[in-house]
Amino acid sequence: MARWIVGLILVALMAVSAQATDLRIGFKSEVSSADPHVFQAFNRNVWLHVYEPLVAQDKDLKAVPGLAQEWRATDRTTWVFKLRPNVTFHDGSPFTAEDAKASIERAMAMPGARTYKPYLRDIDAVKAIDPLTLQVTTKVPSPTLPDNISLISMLPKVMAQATEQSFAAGQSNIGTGPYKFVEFSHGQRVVLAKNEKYWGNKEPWDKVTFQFIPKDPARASALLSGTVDVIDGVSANLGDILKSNKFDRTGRTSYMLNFIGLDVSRAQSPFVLDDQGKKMTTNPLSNRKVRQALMLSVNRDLIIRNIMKGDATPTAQLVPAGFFGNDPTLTPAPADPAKAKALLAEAGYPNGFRLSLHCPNDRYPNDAKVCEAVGQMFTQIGVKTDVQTLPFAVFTPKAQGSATEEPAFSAWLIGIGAVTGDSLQPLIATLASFDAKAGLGAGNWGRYSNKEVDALILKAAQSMNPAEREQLQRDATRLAAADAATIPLHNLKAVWAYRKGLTVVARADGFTFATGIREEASK
Amino acid sequence: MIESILRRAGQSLVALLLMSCLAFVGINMVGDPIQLLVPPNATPAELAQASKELGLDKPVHIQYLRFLRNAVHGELGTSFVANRPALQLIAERAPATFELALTALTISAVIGIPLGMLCGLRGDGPLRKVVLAGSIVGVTVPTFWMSLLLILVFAVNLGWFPSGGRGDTVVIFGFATSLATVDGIKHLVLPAVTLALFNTALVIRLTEAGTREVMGQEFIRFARAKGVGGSRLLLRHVAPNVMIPVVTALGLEFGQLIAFSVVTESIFAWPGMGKLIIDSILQLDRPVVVAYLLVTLLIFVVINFAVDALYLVLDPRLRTKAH
Repeated sequence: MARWIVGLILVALMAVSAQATDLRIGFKSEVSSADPHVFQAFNRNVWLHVYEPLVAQDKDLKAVPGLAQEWRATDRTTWVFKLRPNVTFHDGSPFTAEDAKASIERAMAMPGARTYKPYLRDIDAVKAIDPLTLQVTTKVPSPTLPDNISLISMLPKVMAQATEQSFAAGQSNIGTGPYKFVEFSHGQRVVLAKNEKYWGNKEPWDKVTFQFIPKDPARASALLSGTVDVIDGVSANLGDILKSNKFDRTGRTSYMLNFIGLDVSRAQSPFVLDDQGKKMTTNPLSNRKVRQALMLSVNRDLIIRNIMKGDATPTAQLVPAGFFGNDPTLTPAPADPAKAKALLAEAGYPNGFRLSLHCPNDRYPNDAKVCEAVGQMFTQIGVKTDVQTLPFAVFTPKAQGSATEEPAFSAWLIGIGAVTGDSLQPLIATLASFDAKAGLGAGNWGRYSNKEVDALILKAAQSMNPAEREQLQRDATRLAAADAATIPLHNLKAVWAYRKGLTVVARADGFTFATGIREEASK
Repeated sequence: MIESILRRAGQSLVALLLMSCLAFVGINMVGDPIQLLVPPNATPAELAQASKELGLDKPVHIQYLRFLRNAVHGELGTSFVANRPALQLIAERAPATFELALTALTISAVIGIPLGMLCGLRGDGPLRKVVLAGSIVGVTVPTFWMSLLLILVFAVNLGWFPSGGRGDTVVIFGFATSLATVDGIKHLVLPAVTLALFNTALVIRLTEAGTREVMGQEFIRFARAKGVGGSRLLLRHVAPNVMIPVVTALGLEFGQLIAFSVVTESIFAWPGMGKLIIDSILQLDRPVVVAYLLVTLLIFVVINFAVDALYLVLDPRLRTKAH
């Protein structure tokens, strides 16, 4: 009898200790594809659990060793990566330089529009020197290559030919990551399971579910009702509901910058009229003093306090503090309407003018409201501003223009994110002079052009000395800020809410990693 | 009979063609999806290359003709976003929507028809007043508000049901259904009730009015005079006559539930077709939008056929005409 009881107790104990620990994440975005080489920011968030890059990014988006233990530039156009030994894929095969080569080449050859090709355009050739050494040669000096490589997931070489179909069907989903692929249900969820043979620290979660809940109130109620443990994309509008003793929240400044772009180069601008509502013969926005006046009229603190409810950080530059290329001396000047009016008068527009400000209304948190506030601030100094909001899908093609059409707007709100934690890409995209052939200024819809800024950016883009490069990027940023080339408003905050008892690592890219979520050590 | 079916089929084909043309041209006018697909640092050359790979560099009419050519072969294009055939995406989402719509419809029929008949038979009793007043609420309350209220009460406060998503599914006859697992049914309850609310109210009102009308007619009095009463009178003589408008309404509502349960699906994160279409419109995923509209139209056509067939069952006069 006693043996029976002991046996029963043992079985019960085993049942308790074997109880699976699940983590359920209420995820704002929907994963659109199971293929890790398909470009989409939040696809990458989820698939990084399954597939790892050579170079990983820490929570501040600094490059840290991933599947490569170290890397260095051996000459101006050659990078050599030393791979981590004894790493195996989920199917048991070893990870080698051949796999890395095949993976990078697969990403470079992906068909369609949603690819990482624009990040890999510098690459000339990839070569496996020995099983643990990978050599990447570039067409031009490419100081940010390791950062760009961090976007590419490593697959086994045998999967190099795998199609998106086979990933969707769950037939090719082999990586080296801390979690294994279990299920991807389009529009619904991704389920992952612990990789018991992971080369790094073992994960505490047996099963991780990313449940796609795009609607903010629905995500909040999923957390409130205990359907999920963690939600991302918490907006301040929900803050009060979650302020209870059962939930915690954490957040930080993210890479996503919202700024006002201005049509600085055209002789006449399509949405600028004089104070009587007539067409103008000049473009006031091409006058630096006018742009400085507009910049001075914006009260960032007011916008952040009243519209963003604290979920943003004011800024005067492209990347937030802590990122490569951030200039700590460049801080936003406090709003000064009187000085702004004086600048307008000095520039020859004492009565101001009329302007339309175009904005997306479904892209960034509170985008339309922020625009209305900015419009009112412009109006206060005499630039009577009429705010037009559009769905992002309609807004972008017009704002960007095309090979045959000029950008359509005079002033607009848009966002840009320094995905790799470095200001070089945003500098090239938004502040370098537009040059379709050279691939410069793709996001420079205002066609701002300053030779000094261009020279600094191009020099930085080829500088293999990090200290020198950062200084060049800071100088370019400062020059463009002095020109008021654009009006940076704020960096959005990424905010998470979760049940008490968990800790969540707040990342600058807003990514939610199961590897960053832990049960608090019991007291 | 065959002639009318053929004519119907011909009309449906014309409708499909018109719809495809409208949808194709309409979404082309909204804007170019290419910038939404490529990384933000893509150069104009890279944009042009991507455009070409998706066939977006051609003029609209060429794109449309190519679409028609493929459509004849049963291919409605490949999603820009998911890179998979649009029809496949829709087919993947369809079971969830059908399941939700069918459940909602069943709830509204099972509750609505008996309650409506009871009210119609009882005349001006208190039951009728309460039910009819309740049905006004059901018809007028907006779905999104109802969804949020149900979530707040039953998911957040009481914790009886999950607040969203689809539960465990089991594959039966090739379709994944959540009706076979406890977890699945738990997930289904709140969205199905939300969707059923309006329809239940509608069915109650239709049945009630129908019953009152039929009860006053000569053939009912005649049947009564013959000594027919109780359940036989109700089932054989009253019900079939009441049901014709109700079946019509349910048929149309079924189409509505399948095609336009967008709001409920997005609030409950239900992975159905409604959510797919909204996401696809926002991302300008043209092939999916066009394919979805065509599939929806096809569903409506089929439902109308089915409703007509049900008339034949319910109304003997139509049966004789058909012969």
